[in-house]
Amino acid sequence: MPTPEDSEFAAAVRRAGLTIPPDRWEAMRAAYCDMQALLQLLDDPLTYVDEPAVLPDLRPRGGR
Amino acid sequence: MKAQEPLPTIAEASRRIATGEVSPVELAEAALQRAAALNDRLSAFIEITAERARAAAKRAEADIRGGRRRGPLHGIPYGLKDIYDARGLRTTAHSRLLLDNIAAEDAATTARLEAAGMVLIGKLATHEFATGGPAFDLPFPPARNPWNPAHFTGGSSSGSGAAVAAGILPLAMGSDTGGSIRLPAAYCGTVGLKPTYGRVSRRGVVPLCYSLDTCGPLTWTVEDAALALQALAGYDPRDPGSADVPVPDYGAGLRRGVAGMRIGYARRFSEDAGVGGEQQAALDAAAQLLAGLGAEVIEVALPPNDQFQAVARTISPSESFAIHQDDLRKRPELYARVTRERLMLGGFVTAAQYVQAQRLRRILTAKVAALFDACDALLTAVIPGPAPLLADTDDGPWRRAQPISSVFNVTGQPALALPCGFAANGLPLSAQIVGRAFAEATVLRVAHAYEQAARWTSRRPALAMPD
Repeated sequence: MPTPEDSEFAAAVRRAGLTIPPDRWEAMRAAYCDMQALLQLLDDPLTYVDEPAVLPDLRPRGGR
Repeated sequence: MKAQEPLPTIAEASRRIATGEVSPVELAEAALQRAAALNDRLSAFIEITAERARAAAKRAEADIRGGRRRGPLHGIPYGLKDIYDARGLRTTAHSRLLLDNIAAEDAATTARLEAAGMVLIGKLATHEFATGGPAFDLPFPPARNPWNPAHFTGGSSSGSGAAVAAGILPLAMGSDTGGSIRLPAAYCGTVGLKPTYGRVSRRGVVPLCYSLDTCGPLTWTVEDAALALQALAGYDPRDPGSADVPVPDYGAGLRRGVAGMRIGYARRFSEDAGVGGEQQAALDAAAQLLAGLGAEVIEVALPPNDQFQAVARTISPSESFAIHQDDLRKRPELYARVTRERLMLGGFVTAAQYVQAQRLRRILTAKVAALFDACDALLTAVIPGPAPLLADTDDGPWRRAQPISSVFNVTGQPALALPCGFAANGLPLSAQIVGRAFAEATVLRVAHAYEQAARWTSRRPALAMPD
């Protein structure tokens, strides 16, 4: 019986368009779970004014 | 020049060239002989470009004898991590995918070093595509640590660290997305400078993560890092990440010392990041030495390490996956297993997670920048301890620990790794000096003062050479 984590991982693999060999499936699933656990930190709420670090920089570059 | 001895530093070689004690041809021959003799043991080089090096050295010698010396780098040997383009040579990124990839032009950095008259000795080993880890299922073997070849060099600029530590090259170029200059510098006992993001052009260097990638030098001394950065730094309109910020004279303040400076010691942060006993003691000793030189050393608190990790481990794999997704889907078998699996993880990050990471990155950058209101530089660890055995390196898809070095890829500030002692097993320990954005001169000044007082550079790996 697949667990919810199995289903979620399988969906993530399909969406990414990847093929994972059967003998590496469990290692990759565990890595996926570890990654998502760390990335939960990104769910902490930010304010509306907290903009991303990568924005177009359209400031003049000087006289070059 | 004797190939049995490590090559002199850039500064020393330059002085000897100026006085006629040594010629560029002699230096190149010594580097080539040393590379040939040690590469079986260290696997630092993917390709040794002997013919090209001899021709370049002869040109440099003729120019210098003819009164056309270009500066302190003229006639000095160097190497390129094999993600840097050099016209007419392969850039493999240590990968099967790029075995036939011949560079049509020099990387911007290569062009700058060539214009300075440097002599390319060869292309250096890396972790595949500057990521992954040491792997044995690739066309080239992983580099080995000159202090003990059973141990890891650190990476991904693995060959660069090995070649400089082994005294084959006084300068090797590396790249740093999460620590890939500073980690091999730390494990191999060299100096490694990650300049401010945007300070050195990335054009012509195989990308790993556009918003984190930084190019910089590995050298034996801080003075040599300053000499290299002088040639490398500058605005490049063909690199979208390049910063149009004036380049100062990095040698001008190098010897001013640290008296009166205030240095923030992020001791608690290093402890929380798992820095071990010997490494922590060496850092404490470094802080005391800087204080003894007249600096005011204060403890400072960085934001929690897991926040930096969440940001770095979202942004880096996402951008890397975007670069490699086509190959990962169509011919994944061409990558080493460790590279393939780590790159694949980026395909599982959602768009919202990526944007959140970039938002948190801006907040963290501002918090770290604010620390410099109270101090001129920061002192932290680069690594938790000395180099592990190559056989014990983490080769799982999810790294058990992200290096401390990645903090300053997230924030973009300049950071320099340099030796701060030796572990009981004889392997180097390392400290990290960090500065305000574009304040590489301050970083170099603090590091130079420490290096001159601590004198760790006098110890080199014992590498027996045939007579």
